[in-house]
Amino acid sequence: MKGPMSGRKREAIAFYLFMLPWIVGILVLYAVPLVASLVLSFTNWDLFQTPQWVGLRNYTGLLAGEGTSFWLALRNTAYYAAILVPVNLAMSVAFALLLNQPIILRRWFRTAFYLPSTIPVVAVVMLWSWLLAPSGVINSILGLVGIDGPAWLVDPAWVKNGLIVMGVWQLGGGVVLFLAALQGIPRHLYEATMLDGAGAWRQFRSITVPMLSPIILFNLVNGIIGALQVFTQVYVVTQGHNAGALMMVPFLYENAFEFNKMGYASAIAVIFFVMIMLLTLIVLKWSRRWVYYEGEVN
Amino acid sequence: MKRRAVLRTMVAAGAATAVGLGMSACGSASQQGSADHANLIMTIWGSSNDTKTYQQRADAYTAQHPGVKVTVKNIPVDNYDQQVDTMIAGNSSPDIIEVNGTDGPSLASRGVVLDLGPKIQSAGLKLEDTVDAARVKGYNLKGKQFALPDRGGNLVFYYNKTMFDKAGVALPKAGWTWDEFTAAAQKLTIVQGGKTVQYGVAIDNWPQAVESVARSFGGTLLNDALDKPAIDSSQFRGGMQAYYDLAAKLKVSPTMKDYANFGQNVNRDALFAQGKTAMIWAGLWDVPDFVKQGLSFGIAPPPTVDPANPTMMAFGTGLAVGSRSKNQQAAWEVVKYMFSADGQKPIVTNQEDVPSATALIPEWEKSLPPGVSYAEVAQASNQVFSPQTPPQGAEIEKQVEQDLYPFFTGSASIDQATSTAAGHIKGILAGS
Repeated sequence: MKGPMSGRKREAIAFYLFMLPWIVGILVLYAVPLVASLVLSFTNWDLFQTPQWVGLRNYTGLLAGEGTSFWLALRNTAYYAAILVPVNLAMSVAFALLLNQPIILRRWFRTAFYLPSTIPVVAVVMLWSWLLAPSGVINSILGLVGIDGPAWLVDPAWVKNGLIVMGVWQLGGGVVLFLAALQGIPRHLYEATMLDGAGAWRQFRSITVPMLSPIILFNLVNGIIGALQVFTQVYVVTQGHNAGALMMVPFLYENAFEFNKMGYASAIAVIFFVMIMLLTLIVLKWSRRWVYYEGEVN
Repeated sequence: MKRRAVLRTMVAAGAATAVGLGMSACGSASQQGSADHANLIMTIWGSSNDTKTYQQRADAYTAQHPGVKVTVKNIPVDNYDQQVDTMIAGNSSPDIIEVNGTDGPSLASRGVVLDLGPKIQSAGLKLEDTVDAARVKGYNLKGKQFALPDRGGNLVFYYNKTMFDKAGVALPKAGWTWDEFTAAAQKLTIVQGGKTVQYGVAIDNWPQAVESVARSFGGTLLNDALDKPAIDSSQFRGGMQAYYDLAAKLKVSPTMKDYANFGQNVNRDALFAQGKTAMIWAGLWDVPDFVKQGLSFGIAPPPTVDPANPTMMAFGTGLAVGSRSKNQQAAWEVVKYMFSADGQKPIVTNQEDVPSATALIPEWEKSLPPGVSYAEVAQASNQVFSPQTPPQGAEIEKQVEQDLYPFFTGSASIDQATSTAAGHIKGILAGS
C-alpha cells in the first residue's frame, strides 16, 4: 500500500511539470542544434549529401584560407559594435536624464524618443536611405556648415557609419529602461548629498551612476550581443553587395543558405559563439568592479 | 575504427537534427510511380502570368495523359533556392524544378537533379533541333545535361526613339561600334544649369550587363576550364574601365552616388521607364513595362568592340527533374513535352517571355508591340553567349559583385578590384 504523496514530492512534481515546456524548448531549440552545429563544423555538408568529416579544414579555411572574408567580416562587425554600443549607452543615459527633468511636453518627448524603436527595420532603412543620400537632408545640413558630406550608404568606407547612425536613432528602448531606473532612485539620497554640499556632477557620479549601474550592465551586454548579431539593416541596405558592411551574421547566412556550405557556416557560428561568450564573460567579470546592487548591501 | 564509427554516427545525427527533417531517408530515392499515373509538383518563381502559363502547359500534357496531373507551385524568387533546398532535404522533392544557369549547377553538383543525358538519348531527342546549341550548353555541367532549356531570351540594348530623333542621332543597329555608341551617348546627354536632366545611357553594376560588356572586350570571369579566375585579365579590366568611364569620365551615365540620390530601388530600368536615359542594357522582360509607360523605344544588340566577341548573355530558364522525385519517369515526360515547340506555345500566346524553341521566335516577334522590332537583335544572334557556370556559380557571382563594388563607387582602381576578386575566386574554387 502506498501512502499519500508527501507535500514536498507533490511540489517537486509540480515544479518539473511547470518547467517541462521550458526544458523541452531549451533542449530541442537550443542545446541540440548547438551540439549539431559544433559537430557539423567539422564536416563538409551541402544539405543533401551525407556530411563528410573534414577535421579542422573549415576552421583553417576560415581563419587562413586564400581570400577568406572572415577577418573582414569580423573587423566590420567589431567596428560597428565598438562605436554603436558606447554611443548608444551614453546617449540613452543623457536622454533619460533630460526626460526625467520637469520640462514642458515631457510626456510627448518620452513618446517621441521611444517611437523610432517601434518602427520596423525595413521602414527605418527606407527613411534613412533618403536622409543619408549623397544629396540628402543630412548632407545638406552638413553643407550649411561647410562640410562636404560623404556618400553614407554607398561608399564602402562610410557605410558602417551610416548603419551606426541608423542604430543610434533607435535608442528608445534603452532610454525607457534608464528612465524607469532613474525614477526608482530614492530622493533622500540626493537630499542627503545636497546637505553635504555635493553639486550636480558629484551627485551624478556618486548616486545616479551607481544606482543605474545594473541597468547600464544589462544594456551593455544586450547591446554588445545585439550589435554583433546585426543582420536585417545590413541586408536591406547593401543586399550583400557592399563589402564595407560585410558583417558576421550576414556572412554566416550567405554561406549557409545561399552557397549551401553548411559545415563552413557552422564553423563561423562556433567561432562567433565562442567570441560572444568570452566577451560577455569579460564584461560580467569587469562589472563586479563597478555595478552596485542595492540588495547586496546590508 | 571504433572512433571513426562513432564520429560518423555523430555527424549523421547532427545533420539529421539540424535539418529537423527526415534526412535519414534521403539516400538516392528509388524511382517509383509510373509514367502514366502520377501527381507531380512543379516549382517555379515569377508572376501570376508565369503560374498561369506553366499550369496551362502542364494541363495541355494532362489532356493527352489524363493519369498525370501537375500542380504548379510558385515560390517567391528571393527564397526560391532556399525553399526548394528545404523541400528536397525534407524528403518531399519537387518532381519538376525550374532552374537558371547560375543556381542550376549547384543543384546538379549536389546530385538532387537528374542527369537527363540517358533519357535524352533513349528518347532519341536532339536538343539542338529545337533550341540553339549555345543555350543547351548553359544547362550542362561537366558533360551532364541537368536541365532542358525552357524560356529563352537574352540581354539586349534598349534605346528611346524620341530622344534619338530629337538629337538627330542615327538609331543603333546590329554591328554598331563602341565608339559610335559613346558618341551617341554624349550627344544624348543633356545638362541644364549644371544638372544632368537626361542621361545618354544608364549603367550600374548589374552582373549580367557587367559580364556581357566584359565579353565584348574579350574578357571572362573564369578561364575556359572553369577552374581559375580570368577576371584579372587585361581584356576584362579594359572592358570594365571603358564601361565605368561612361559614368566617371564621360559623365553620360549616372554614378552609383547619383542612383542613391534618386531613391531606394531606382535602377537603370526605372530611369529608362521615367524617360531620364536614352539607352540601357536590359532583359526583354522590360518590354511590357516600357509599353505601359507609353515610351517610343526600340531594341538592338549592344555595341561591339570586336565583331568576333559576343555581347549578349543568354537568359532564360530550364526545367530539371528531381532525382529524389518518386515519379521521375512521369516528370521527364512532362519536361520533354514542355520542351517541344507545342509545349512552349503558351509562353508566346500569354506573352509571358521569349520561348527557347527557335521555331516559335517568328511568332513571338509578332507579339511585340507595334514599332518594336527584333530584327536587329536576330541579325546578331551569333553574339549571344551562354556562360558555363561551375557549381560555385552563385558564390562567385556574389563575390565578384562585392569586389567590383568599390571600383563602381570610385574607391578602388579596376586593377585593385579585380586582383581582390581573383584571390577570392581562387579560394572559392579551391573549396575554402
